[in-house]
Amino acid sequence: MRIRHSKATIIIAYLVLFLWCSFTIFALFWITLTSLKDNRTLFQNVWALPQEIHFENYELIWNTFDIKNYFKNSMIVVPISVFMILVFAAPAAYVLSRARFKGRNILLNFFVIGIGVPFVVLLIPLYFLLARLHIIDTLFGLSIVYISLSLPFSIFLLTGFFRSFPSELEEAAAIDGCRPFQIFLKIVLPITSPGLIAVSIFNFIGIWNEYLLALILTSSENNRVLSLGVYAIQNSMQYSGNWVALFAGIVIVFLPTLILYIFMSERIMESLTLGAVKG
Amino acid sequence: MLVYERNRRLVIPFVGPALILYLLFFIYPAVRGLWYSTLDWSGFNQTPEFIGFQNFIELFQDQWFWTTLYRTVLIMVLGGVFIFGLSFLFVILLNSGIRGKSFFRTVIFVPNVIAPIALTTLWGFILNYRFGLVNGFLTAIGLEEFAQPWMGPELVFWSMLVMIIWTYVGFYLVILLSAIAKIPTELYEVAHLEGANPLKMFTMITIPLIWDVLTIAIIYWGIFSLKLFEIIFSFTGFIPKSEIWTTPVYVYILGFGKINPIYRLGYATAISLVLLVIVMIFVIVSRFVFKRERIEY
Repeated sequence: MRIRHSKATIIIAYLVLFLWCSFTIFALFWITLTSLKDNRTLFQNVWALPQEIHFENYELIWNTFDIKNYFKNSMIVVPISVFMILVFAAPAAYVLSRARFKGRNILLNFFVIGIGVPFVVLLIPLYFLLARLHIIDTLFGLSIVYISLSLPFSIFLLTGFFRSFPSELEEAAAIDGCRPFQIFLKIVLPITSPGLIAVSIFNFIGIWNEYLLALILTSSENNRVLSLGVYAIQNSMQYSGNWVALFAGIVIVFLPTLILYIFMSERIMESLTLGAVKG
Repeated sequence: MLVYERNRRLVIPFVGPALILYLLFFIYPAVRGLWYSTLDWSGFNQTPEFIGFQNFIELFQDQWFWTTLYRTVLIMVLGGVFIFGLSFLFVILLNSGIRGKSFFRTVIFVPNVIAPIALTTLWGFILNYRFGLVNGFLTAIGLEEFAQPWMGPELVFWSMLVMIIWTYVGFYLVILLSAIAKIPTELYEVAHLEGANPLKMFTMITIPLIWDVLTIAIIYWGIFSLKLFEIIFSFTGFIPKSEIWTTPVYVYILGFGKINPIYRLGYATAISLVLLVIVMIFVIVSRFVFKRERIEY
């Protein structure tokens, strides 16, 4: 609204935004600083700067608390799941956005309905399904579930995104004799890569931070993913009281997504508006 | 799209794989859930016993069910009001000619990428009675008598609601911001020339022109808030206090409760199905209420 910008409005705007944002930034810094303290000094003054830096918290949490295993598990499950979501969702979204056939809308809606299903409904049946398929308590089983459950939202976003692309290039290629799969691989995917990346980042963040399904579908400690591992450490707080170690774990959990976010924030914002804001 | 109109053979290889995964690991369990909800079952030692609708009859009389459902809906409604209210406020502030708009937007959005466990631990410390930031601040400015046990039984739910609002404002801010950015500024300029005040401009230009996006966002928040789990579950650490139980949390505790292993799988599934129905009803009603002619501009 570029009509009038009274000085007063601008000052108020800066003030409010500044207050809100400094709180958020402070929160992130505080978490990081706390992870470098030791427990005694932490509780002497919770909000002060650390006097000494205790990097050993990280060493402790990495080895003794086994975070390095959990980190490894997340680094296996999450990127693979995110990639496979694209492998399944992109072709589906492409066809659902372009082709016109009877029942196309029904099919699309069939997928999109999945967005509204609370995961708690699926917990128990999924548990027994995976058990019967002998993939319970495996990273593989967990990944398959992550992929399947992410399909509705990803297809929704990608369909909206694909629809906003004109199809001349594909038509030209088709006339030139390209087969549909080639068109898809060589033309459509490269052009739509911003959208694919955006959706992938969105999925990465969601799956990285997820722990409800991981909680139910994996049980042995070896198979814990990072977010679940930190949750488990939080649980053990009642016995160990090693808060600073917990904070080190928390930093390890949020650092990757934060870094990803800082570098890719434009893309992430895009992915939200893909399906919703058309044109 | 001439090429694909005739080429129905494409559908199967392109959509097929996704459809199979979806059917097998999403739809099939959901339908199975329907069956489980008719059972009385602890899942492990006991063999399931068919009891028909008894689970559903029981849940209607279950005090915990109604309390948790009430809280869930409260989060959706109150949370929604504040989140969208704050989002619009921030949109206005960000659009009022300041510099660094991108920076502010980025920071406001940040909580959405941070793991819920980090957020809940953070807020647990901020709201701690003895050494929390809030009480510390109040004491520092002399308002010690206002220092409250924010995590105590009476206030913990509201504290959690504050955290939820703070976290998700950024998400809807981004959506609304980009939707409003698409409105041609000339519309506002003309309206201003014709003497419209800001409120009128808001209700007659902004809202109608972002209606599509706004309704999708509202519906998405409705669905999202009814499903909310991780951020609530870890709010009071270890096992969530019963004062913050919402329906998804209640379902989890019934089915997999760690403290008192209850393992009432059939009953838990029944409740989760009720939740699902509520979500569906919400979506259907919303789409009906929000329906409007597309405005082209």
